[in-house]
Amino acid sequence: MTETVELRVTSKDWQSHRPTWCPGCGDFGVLSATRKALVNTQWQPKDTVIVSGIGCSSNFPHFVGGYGIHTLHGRSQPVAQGIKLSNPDLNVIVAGGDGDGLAIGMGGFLHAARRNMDITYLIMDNQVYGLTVNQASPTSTMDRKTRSTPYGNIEHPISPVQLAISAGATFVARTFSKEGKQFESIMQAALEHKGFAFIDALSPCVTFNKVNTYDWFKERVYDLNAPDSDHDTSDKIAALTKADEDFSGQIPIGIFYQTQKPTYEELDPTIQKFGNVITRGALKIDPETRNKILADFR
Amino acid sequence: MLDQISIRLSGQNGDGIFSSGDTLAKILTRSGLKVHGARSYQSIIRGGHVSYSIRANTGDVRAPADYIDVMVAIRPDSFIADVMPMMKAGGKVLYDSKGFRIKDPEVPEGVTLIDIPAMQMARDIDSSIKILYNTVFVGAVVAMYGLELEVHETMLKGFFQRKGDKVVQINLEAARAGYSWVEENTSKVEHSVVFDRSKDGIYIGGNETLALGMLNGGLQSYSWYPMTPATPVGSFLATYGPLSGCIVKQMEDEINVSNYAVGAAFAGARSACGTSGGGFALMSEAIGFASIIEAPVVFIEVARGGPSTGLPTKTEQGDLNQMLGASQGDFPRAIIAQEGIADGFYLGQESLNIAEKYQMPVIIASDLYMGEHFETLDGLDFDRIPIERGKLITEDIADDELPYLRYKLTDDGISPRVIPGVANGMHDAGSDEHDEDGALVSDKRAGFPEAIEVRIQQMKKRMKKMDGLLKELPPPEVWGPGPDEANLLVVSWGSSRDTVREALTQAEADGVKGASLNIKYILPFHGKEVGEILRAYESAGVKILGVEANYTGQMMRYIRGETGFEIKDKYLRYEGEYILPREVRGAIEQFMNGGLQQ
Repeated sequence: MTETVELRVTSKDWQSHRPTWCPGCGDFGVLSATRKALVNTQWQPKDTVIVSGIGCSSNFPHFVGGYGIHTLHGRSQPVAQGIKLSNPDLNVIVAGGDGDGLAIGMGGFLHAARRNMDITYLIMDNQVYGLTVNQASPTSTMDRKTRSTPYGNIEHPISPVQLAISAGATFVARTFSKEGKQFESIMQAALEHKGFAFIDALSPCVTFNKVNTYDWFKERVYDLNAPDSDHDTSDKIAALTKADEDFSGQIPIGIFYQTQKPTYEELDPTIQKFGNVITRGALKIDPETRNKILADFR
Repeated sequence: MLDQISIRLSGQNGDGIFSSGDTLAKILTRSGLKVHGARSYQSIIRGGHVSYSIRANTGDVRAPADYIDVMVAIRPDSFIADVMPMMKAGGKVLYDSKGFRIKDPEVPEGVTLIDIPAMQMARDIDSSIKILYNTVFVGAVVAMYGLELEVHETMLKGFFQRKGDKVVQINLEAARAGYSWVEENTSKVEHSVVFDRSKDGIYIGGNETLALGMLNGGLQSYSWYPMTPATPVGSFLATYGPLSGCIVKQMEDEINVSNYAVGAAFAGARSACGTSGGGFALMSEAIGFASIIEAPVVFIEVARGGPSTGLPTKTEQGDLNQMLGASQGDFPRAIIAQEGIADGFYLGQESLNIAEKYQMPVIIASDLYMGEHFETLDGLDFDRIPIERGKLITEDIADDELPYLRYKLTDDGISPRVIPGVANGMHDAGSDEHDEDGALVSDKRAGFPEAIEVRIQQMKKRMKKMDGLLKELPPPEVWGPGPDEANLLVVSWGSSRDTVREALTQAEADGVKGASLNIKYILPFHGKEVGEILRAYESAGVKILGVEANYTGQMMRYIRGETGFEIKDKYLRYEGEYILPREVRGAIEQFMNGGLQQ
């Protein structure tokens, strides 16, 4: 962590292993837009950690430069928080799927949002469990037939956008993997947002989801932040209302909500006193503090 | 003439028993004594039955008292739960017959009842402070033992300072009232214990020494979720962590507590998390995760009575099987038991060193008795254990040193570990099986000869770390006489150490020449050495008894598995109360005279 002359970061710096996703997977679009957005930020890959859970999309860190940690199913959020608080100078991005983040990882997602650490969270939402070969997920629509719902899905889908807003995320957006330009700009805005930024990325599964296909989305999505739109991204209630649709009609994509609040790391008493504890180093208790502590036990 | 001090305060939640007990224990500590304090309580906030037992002497006191000499019995239940089982002839009970209508209480033969109007005295001083009577009682106990009132007054001034002068004055009056009442109305306790106010020990619990030790070991991250009896570790660190560079994070559940700890370790923090048995069950998956990505994390398990939510406020050594079995597959990890109050301070530091040097999870096995009892310590050596971080790379890697391989195969199985932020160290840490670079072999490469080879190499590499660690850990040592002099060897583990050893000392009067083998390092295990010890005593004709606080004898079964030596006779306790030396002595007596009745 010594000072070095840092050259301009290019797309090449964010390359890594070749993706193993099915040909045509929506996640390719997510990956490509994310890499572009990362170049736009000019973040150093060495100062960036990509954290994921388990599932097709959670292989993401292996396909992007920077440090990566491929955690357990549903556990990317607490791992990311451990990284971010320990070293607030790192850029932390969490990536995963709808099953990982909204089923097994739901608790972690909501608490991550309310803490408002400076973390970006990207859900690649394909409305199905892919890696376990086609089961219903929390965002699967009603009546969908999958291997876990052979007679049709009888559970209502949840709205990740509404959940993120109500839980306290300070940047909440939805975008579509085929809308490369919009994706890139929203991703960049999310990365540069100070606080917990959440993106629900519509990313079709071409193998198992024959309902919510590219064409299906193309017919429905519209830009929430288009010049003629009257959506106010600072209006929390308007954002919740906009997100209150069931995907049967039009699907707004864009930034739903954005606000500024102090981040958790700005408020943490240890970070306030010592800054970055990693660069400070692991040290013994200094004699003055030692005496102060022991005095309470005399 | 008594040769030690043994007091119990007994009442219910809301009587201020714990703070009064703390005050009394610190008065004794400030009077130059070594104190052992242990509490008994229930899982409610008001009512119920609680007690605080204090034993003190000039030399080390490391086990609870067998009998209580002076009991403060505030409630009618105090006589049933404390006076009857814990007192014998010569004992004195301080109580207030009018306070909580205690009429003709039953006491063991020869126990003296001292009826002190503590409630009325308290009301006369200030009727607005509901539990002022506890200060009157403590003042009375101070007088009973001939302790200096001034020490009590200094304690009260410090304790109530933040509540203002009036509260301080009221409490001082209450203490003096209790003290004077004893001086004027009853005889004192005759004892030979000598007070010395020049000493200044600290009075501290096992959870606190463990937390303090970790903090002095350079702890930078502690994550937790409240759970009795591990909560005091979190409270301690929440208070003192921010003064010494440790970030303390309360999470939403223990699954996320443990994964937070893994994230912190991955980022390069000295990282630990803590819980009790139920929370530890939720941490199980993260332990294997930490091990496969080779992240150093200390997991603290302060056990209470199980199964399920079990006995939330009672002690048990019942979680050994869970700790040994936590997480799927074979992976390197250490399990170390806390053996004592001072031991916790050094173990806290040692465990962080082991975790980082061997890049593996370390589990600390404690229990409610260990964590929540208190002792007076003369001093702690803050410099004894250096901070060791192992093969840790925090400076940028030069271009000519590339490629950097996070999981590089090495002779000792330990690969140089880099932290994010270091140039040229980028890699992916994978919870799936991976190659030297961290790339997965679990997806499209799985099953190919090359991936099979990687799997074998990485497993061997990780497991090799256990061999190195075993060599570093000190082999167990027997306390007491060798095989040729002894007639009894007691095998125990962790928190049972000091109670067993006091029982063996007592049993000398019964003709027992007892040795003690207390297991601290559970995994990796010195199976060869422990087997040799057991066989040496057995072949010399020494009887061998296992003592532990669980139903099935989990440690004895583990020892059998690791050594092939079966310890057939066991004194097992699982009702949740901490074990008294006299109870172990009684079991030993039965065992030596033919057979242990369980």
